[in-house]
Amino acid sequence: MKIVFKNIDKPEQHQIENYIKSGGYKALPQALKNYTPDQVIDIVKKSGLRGRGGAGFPAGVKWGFVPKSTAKPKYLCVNADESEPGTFKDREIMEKDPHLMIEGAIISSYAISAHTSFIYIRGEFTLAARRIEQALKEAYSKTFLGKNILNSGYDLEMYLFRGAGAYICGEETALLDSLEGKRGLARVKPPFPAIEGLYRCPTVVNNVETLSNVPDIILKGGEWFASIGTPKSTGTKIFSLSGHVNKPGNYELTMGTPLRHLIYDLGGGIKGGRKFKAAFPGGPSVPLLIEKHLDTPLDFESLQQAGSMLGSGAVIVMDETTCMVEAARILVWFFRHESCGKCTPCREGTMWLHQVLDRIEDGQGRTEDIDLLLRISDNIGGKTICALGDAAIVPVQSTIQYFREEYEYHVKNKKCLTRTQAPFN
Amino acid sequence: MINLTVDGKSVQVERGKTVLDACRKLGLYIPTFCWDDRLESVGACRICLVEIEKMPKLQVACITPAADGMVVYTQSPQASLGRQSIMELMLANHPLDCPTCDKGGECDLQDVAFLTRKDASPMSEPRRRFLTGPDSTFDEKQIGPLIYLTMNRCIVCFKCVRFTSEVACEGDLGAFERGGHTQIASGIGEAVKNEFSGNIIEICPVGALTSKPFRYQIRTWLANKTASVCNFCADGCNLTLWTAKNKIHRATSRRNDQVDQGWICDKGRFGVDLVNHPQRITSPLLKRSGQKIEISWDEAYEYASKSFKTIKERQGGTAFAALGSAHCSNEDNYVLQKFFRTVIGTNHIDHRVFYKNPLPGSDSSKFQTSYSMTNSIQDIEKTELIFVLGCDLTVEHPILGLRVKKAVNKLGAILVVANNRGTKIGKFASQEIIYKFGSEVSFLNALANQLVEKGMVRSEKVKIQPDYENWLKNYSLEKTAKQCGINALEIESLAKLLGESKSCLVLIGRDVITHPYNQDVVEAVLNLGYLTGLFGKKFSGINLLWEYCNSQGALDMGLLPDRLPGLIPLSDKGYRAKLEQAWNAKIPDQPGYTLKQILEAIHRGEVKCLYVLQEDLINNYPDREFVKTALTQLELLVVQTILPGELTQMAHLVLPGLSYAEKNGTYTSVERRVQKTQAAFKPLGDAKPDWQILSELSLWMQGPFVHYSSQEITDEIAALVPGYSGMQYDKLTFSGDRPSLNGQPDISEFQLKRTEYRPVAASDKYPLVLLTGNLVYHSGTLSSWSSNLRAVAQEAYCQVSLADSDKLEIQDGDWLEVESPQGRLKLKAKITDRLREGTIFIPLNFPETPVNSLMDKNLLVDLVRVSKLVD
Repeated sequence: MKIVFKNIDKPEQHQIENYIKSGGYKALPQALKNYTPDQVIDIVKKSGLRGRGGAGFPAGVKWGFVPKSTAKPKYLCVNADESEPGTFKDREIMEKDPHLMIEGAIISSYAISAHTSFIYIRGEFTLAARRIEQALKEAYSKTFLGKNILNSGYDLEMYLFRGAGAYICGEETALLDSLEGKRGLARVKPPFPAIEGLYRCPTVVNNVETLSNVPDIILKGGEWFASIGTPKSTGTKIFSLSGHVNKPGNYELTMGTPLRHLIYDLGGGIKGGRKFKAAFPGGPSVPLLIEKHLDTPLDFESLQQAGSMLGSGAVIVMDETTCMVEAARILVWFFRHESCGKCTPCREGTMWLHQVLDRIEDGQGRTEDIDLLLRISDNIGGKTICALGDAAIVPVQSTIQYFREEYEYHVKNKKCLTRTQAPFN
Repeated sequence: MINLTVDGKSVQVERGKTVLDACRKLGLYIPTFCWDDRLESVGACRICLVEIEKMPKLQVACITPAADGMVVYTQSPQASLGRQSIMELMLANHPLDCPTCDKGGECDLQDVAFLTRKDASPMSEPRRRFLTGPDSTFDEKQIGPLIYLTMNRCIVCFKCVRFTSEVACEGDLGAFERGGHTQIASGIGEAVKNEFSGNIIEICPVGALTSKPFRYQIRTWLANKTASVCNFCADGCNLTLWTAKNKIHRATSRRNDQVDQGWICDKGRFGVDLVNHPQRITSPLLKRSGQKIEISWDEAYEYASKSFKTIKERQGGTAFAALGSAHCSNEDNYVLQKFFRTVIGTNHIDHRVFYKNPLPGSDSSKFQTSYSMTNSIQDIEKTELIFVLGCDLTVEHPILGLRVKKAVNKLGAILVVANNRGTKIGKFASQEIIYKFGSEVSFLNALANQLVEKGMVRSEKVKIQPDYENWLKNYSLEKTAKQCGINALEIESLAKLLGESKSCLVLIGRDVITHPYNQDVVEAVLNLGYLTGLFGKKFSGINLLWEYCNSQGALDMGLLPDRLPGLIPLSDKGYRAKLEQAWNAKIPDQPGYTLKQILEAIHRGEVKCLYVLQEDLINNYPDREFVKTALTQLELLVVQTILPGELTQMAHLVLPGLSYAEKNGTYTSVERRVQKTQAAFKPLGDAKPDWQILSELSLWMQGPFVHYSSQEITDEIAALVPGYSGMQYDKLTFSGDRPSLNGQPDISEFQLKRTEYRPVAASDKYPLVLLTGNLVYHSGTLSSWSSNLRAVAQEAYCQVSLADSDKLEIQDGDWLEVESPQGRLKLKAKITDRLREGTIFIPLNFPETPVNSLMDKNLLVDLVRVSKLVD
């Protein structure tokens, strides 16, 4: 079942003529002419579409939070700052089928009565930025954007804004700060962006993939989308498979597909025929899954039951040659580097975690270090402004939970257990 | 109103308040680092974590909005553990510098560490360092002339950056990098130099930002703290002086929400070192055979009283003149004029040393509006339209400038600024008008004309006589736009704003006070106030802003030749009789001379004795040559002051008075707030309080009064001076009191006056108009004695407009010769695009490059020519 990726492999799909030829920009006139903004919100609510960026918040419900009677202008921001390690699904959408995202964004802006919207794209995505700029030009020329879109009386200006290399700017409030021209620092919530966001006005921030589902939902109806997947995780999800697999890449799957199917059937199994050790099902911000979890269906509820989360859908597969201590160290380094520094626990804690992991990895660990790592994680967890702090402690807690013996081996023997047991061949 | 429960106690707060507000209302202490009630909350430090029922995670109290029915626990085990976690992380990299850190004893981190019982962290990795050099040990960096930054100690609460951008609205301090590498710094190659930079030292919760002058001086708990008021500009910021062993070690703010809200400018904070200047005069000095010798007080009083008696018997009281001080307390000034009026018998009394034709003139309007601020400082935040006329507000009144910035940026007020040059406050205005020098009356009449012509005069109480209306037509849009050198649209749009605003506060400053036809300008503004119906409207009024810390008080104490205390005219027989009865002496009924007339009278031998109280006459009077020549004609020059100079050199007798820090006294600020100060330490050497010197002189001359304490004088002022009733010493609080009458004219009493515009012209030989004023880091020449303030602004310069610099082929930094008929000065050039062509600006704060040597008291406007000096 392909919704977002249904035209992704068609040649030159990013050009508007081809997009229209493959059935594009049909949902937009239907939404503008046949539905009021509130009706659009209802349809999306019925579809059960949940955010595809990592949080999984129901999109229609979020749109419903936008106050109707306010003199302030409303904004829609497309979160194209895809920076979660191992996630590369939005990149493919933006490079190959940007109009799908744009059409979804226009309909969503209409739903919340916004007349200005921004696409905040990660600075490093140069090809995608070029393609989107070109696509925006094309959309304007065909009156899909601008004043009086398709003679419906609805105005919408859409701007592309390029980021400057910060993972934290994928967090919606830091994104808004960056969009306002300030340093990208997370803001405390409440107030939530839907009430006070960009320039203190009601703002909705949605992920690229989330919005790319909207055109089909409008065309085929909310019930149709809800009939796909599981009752609480409707529709499809694009999973970015990477790591020690034979066929890494983006795979759009119906929600509820088992992990084993993704890794072994679609992904061609572990490289070199080696053994599966562990995988992050939704990027390193979510706890690990180990071998016993291979049959877990990939949807929000099932993964939560398995002690993990769906997250962004970045499935990073690690085989038996992976040292989990080193994996934790690299990931904690990432969070330390990307921490915005505004709140004490994340700023000081990620640094401290990394220093301890460095020592353990370099053969200078002490016995109390493992409990120290857990203690620092407890100090950070639940006390930060945004989820980066909570995400930073996940690799530490999760690897210690399932692979504590590797840490103990490092500390006691001052060398790596994995390298000793399963050297590269 | 919202009802919630905190630690079992119920509390009610307004909608929009936070959980922290509720806790504080109950008197509960919640530790905070990054929260300040004057800044926007950010929830960055996370120390104020509290437990709230039904919320799974701990919440930060400073930013969580209070909600109905909330149940909050601040001391629950979870909340306490949460705070300990944060402290553990905060202390992870914080260097234990306490033994050598100035902040010890007043450090929030120390206090909270002890409170949470978490004064150490199990962190044993190498701590983060922000190295300031290859071999640095202390890692401290001087980021401004007076501020050190020790980044290792910073807990990244962002208060300094937030203050600088939100309150001071400056951009010279910011945060760079990200995460654990976040660094607070000024721009690359720049220094933190805004006039409010000292406040970041105070709000920093740790010792990351420290004061250079205060460094390693004394531990805070070993110093004595006394309440005081700043001695520089008229805003009247409240200070705390920290002294030990007769030395002031530093000044900090003493928060007064009606005046300064806890923010003080760098002058008041750092300028205190002048009090302990090594050259302080601490003993009476007598000139004998060209030398100054130290004498005892008895000898000094004997000499003075004998000389006074001789001159008085020979020529009468009118051979004497006295100059009071805008830097001395009300008590000092009151006793000065009482002494000279009753004991000596003269009305030649003045204090307005900086001005050629000072206000209020003898024919000033009777309305108090023409010589004081009638609104309160807080009104600035409540008004709709703020009109700043002839005032470089951020320089002359930094604290009022902060209020205006807040009103414009946060409270939706509209700001219009009009002056003969561009000013910093103008950059915040929605409209900045830069008119030709001297064209104010034309500009104001044009506005009045627009209001009348376009039917924007809305109040029925306003009566416009037809002949006034006809006369006003002379000030048509096109004609006045040309006279003022501005665009007609500027006048039109401002008139519209004035006509439509529901409340308007007008602030008038130095450029009007020193205007050649200043009286006319004030009358024209009053006309405008009348036509717009300002008088009596809430948060509206005309406000003349005096410059120095007790300028208003000096006026109120009657330091004028034709006015008694309370600014009651000398001719008011009833009041004069009341005073004569209270003082038990006669007051001469002939009006005396203003300062200019005094100097001229000295010149021709009519006045033989001049008594100067703590004013730097030679360096400040706008005609240096004339003053010096006149003073040589004196038979007796007595100077009562604290610091030496050319004036004390010329004096026959020098009497050591006290600085503001060594005496109790009251000072009247720009908004007519009377504030009392405490003596911080005993007088240095043999110096005495200024009022006491005059009181003892009165005794020596068998005068009719004697005072034993300054409180006594304060009480006498409260009893006798209109506007000061109820302000007895014990009744005055340390945050001051304002009189209840606001002094605005009664609309029914007001008469429109036809003030004609009189242009001022430059000459061919001297084509540039000389403008002068204070630098924001200095105040008069008094501040030039502070080495701290000199570190920020060391020397004078000559500001030249862009257009003139092109004509004269001058570049920034070139040495110039500035020449007038009176003299010449060598100064460095500073090119600016904020001056109009045809004007230059030289600050008056540096006695070594005295701008008054270029000035002529007989000229309405001082004109100069500028040429580049070739080596």
